[in-house]
Amino acid sequence: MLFNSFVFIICFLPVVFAGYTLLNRRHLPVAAKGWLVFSSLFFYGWWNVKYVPLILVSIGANYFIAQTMQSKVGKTRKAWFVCGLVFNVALLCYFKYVDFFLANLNALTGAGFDLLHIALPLGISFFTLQQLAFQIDAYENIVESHGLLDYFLFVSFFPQLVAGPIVHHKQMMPQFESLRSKVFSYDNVCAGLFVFSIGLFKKTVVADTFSLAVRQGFDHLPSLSLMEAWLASLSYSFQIYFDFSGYSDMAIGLALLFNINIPVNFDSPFKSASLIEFWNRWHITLSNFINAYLYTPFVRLFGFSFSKSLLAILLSMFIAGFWHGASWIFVFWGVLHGVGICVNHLWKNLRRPIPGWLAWFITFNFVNVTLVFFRSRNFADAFKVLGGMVGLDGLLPKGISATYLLTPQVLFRLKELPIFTGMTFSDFLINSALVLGSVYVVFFAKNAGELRREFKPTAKHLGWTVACLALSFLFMNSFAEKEFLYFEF
Amino acid sequence: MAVLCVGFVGFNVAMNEFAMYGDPSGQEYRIWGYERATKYLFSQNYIPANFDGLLIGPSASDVMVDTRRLPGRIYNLSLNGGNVCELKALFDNVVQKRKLKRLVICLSPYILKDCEMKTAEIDPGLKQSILGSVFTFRFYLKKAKALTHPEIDVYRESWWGYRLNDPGVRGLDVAKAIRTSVESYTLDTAIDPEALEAFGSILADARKVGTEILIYHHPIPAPLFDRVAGRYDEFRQGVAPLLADGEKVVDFNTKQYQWFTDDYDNFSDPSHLSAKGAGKLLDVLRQALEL
Repeated sequence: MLFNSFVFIICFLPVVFAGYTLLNRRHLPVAAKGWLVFSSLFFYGWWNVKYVPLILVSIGANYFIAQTMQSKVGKTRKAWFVCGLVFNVALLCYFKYVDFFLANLNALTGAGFDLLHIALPLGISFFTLQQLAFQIDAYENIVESHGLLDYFLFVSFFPQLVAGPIVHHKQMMPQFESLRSKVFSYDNVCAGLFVFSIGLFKKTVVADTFSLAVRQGFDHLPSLSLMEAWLASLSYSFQIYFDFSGYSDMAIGLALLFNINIPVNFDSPFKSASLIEFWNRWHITLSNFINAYLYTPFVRLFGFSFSKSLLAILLSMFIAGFWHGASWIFVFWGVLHGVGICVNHLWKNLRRPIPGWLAWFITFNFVNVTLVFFRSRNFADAFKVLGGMVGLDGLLPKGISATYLLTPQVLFRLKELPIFTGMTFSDFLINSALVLGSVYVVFFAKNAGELRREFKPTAKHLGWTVACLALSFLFMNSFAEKEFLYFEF
Repeated sequence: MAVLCVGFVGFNVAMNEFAMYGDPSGQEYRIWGYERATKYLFSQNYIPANFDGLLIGPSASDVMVDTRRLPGRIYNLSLNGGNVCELKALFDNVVQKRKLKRLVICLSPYILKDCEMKTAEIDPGLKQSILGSVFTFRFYLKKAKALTHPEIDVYRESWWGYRLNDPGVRGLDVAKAIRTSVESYTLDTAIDPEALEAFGSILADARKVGTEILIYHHPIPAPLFDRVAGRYDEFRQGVAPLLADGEKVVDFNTKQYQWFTDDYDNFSDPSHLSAKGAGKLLDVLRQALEL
């Protein structure tokens, strides 16, 4: 069940919200939590009911291991910890990486192992990471005691279950236990709907609009001129930003309906003036996880020196790249960012500040170029786009010259570019308007988190909510193909 | 918000542009644009209610082929750029609700060269989209444009599904176009296995219920055909196993119909028929059906 579907918005959400509110009104908080857990599992099972036992086993096993570990000391405690780590990593490896390992083994040794083609369970990367963090903290003895129901809810809470944000038990458990979360809050409901509507608009109207040129440029055209390559790569950068941040906004908005605050996951990342800043603004919860559970332990392991901290960064980003996808191209993307962050640190050490606009320009283009690898199905596709971006296949498509384009009919002529094949002229106009609006929003306007902080239940905000929802419904109901990029993780 | 939604949905239901609601028997609906989407929706209710036969094929049989000149009530369900898999999706919708008396198939290599859905317009989700979406807005815009600019409205006579020639070809010197394209003329006659299977499935479904089938090979101007005659023979052999003995087949690319393919006035461009050519083609098909 997608957030941007009518069955979710019109059927599932009202029923779940009504049930939760009624049970709390009748002073049945445990039943209310149970209702949320049941609804979350129902939400998960809607995609494929066969995988509900998987998440139940994952949650149950992790809870049991953490509880047992916390009652032990010394080597036994460590053994249980290792057990927990192995269980989670093995689960992820089996469902996500087994074909990657087999394919590489076949390539290296010539052994002809058959690939298993196991369907990737929805959200496994996210709920595994959440529980790994819990296991690690339980081992470090910084986890408070929680009931099974609260733990179930922490992992399975439907707003963040399938694509994050990656929530931390310290942020979530107290909220689930707090009595305040049981009381109906008109302000939270209004704010939640407001933020949800922004996220829905970003996903269904904006992100899906960029996807047309992205598919054409990355998947269909055999070569790209410089103009088309930049159009394709920039379109993807904007698409993934609006897609993922839109999803995160929807998750935050939904959680607010239930008086739960989920951490902000995006803070205008394309405004960043350095790669370090970028990773503090992009997929923030993942960055926090990488920092706390990869980078910091690596630094402790290698020792506290500048060069060793750079090594820790590289290793952490290598793993982060691998987490994103079972493919060398994702690993490469992660390593590129690791190298970029290291270079950023080295430059900072030189204490030679550069003009703000130049810093932004370098950062944005680095991110944009590396995202080409993130999107491409393989290295050949990536180099096709990158080659186009440096003009290897000409500045403009064959048969189209600058003098041809630069006329009063420039819009009609731009529409003729192969990258816009399949788009009607009205599509092209609507898309162009959305693109210009999105560029303004990304670089100059307030983001959803900032708007949420300023939110008050006024007529103006109601108007924006209704407008976002109405436009989103119109686009949702169109028959164009839709994709939700971060569901693939 | 709820009032807005209900109001907009209610409006679209009331307009019923695609004859999806209620009984459309005896009513006439035309295409305003979005041909694939419209014909896909028509195939679910309007066509089964009003027609007892179909003509299916690509743009070659879509343009100018007015099926009112054929016996019975045959709707022209051809699609501009359509392949057999797309046509099958529409055909299946019709036969679910109506036993067809006649099925005319324009057998052009174009419909068998691939099997992918070329657009998202042939999709069950369309039934929901027409209740209220960006598509409905665009549809009304197209309708408004057709009403205000009838001279460029190629669907203004589409009550039985056919469309007129594009305005761009109306002044074309066809003879010159044919002569100049002889040297470079090619025809992709490769048959996609999935497409062939879909074609076989259409024939089997039609035969099962006793539908009279007429297959015709779309005429290609003689000088152009001469360049690809060998490959066209391979195409004929590729589809031959699917054709039943005694099944009506009219092959316009044989000597018997050279009087047609030699006359450039029968064509509006190298691939499509003029009004005159369509009329003659329909005469031949009518005779074949009346046999």
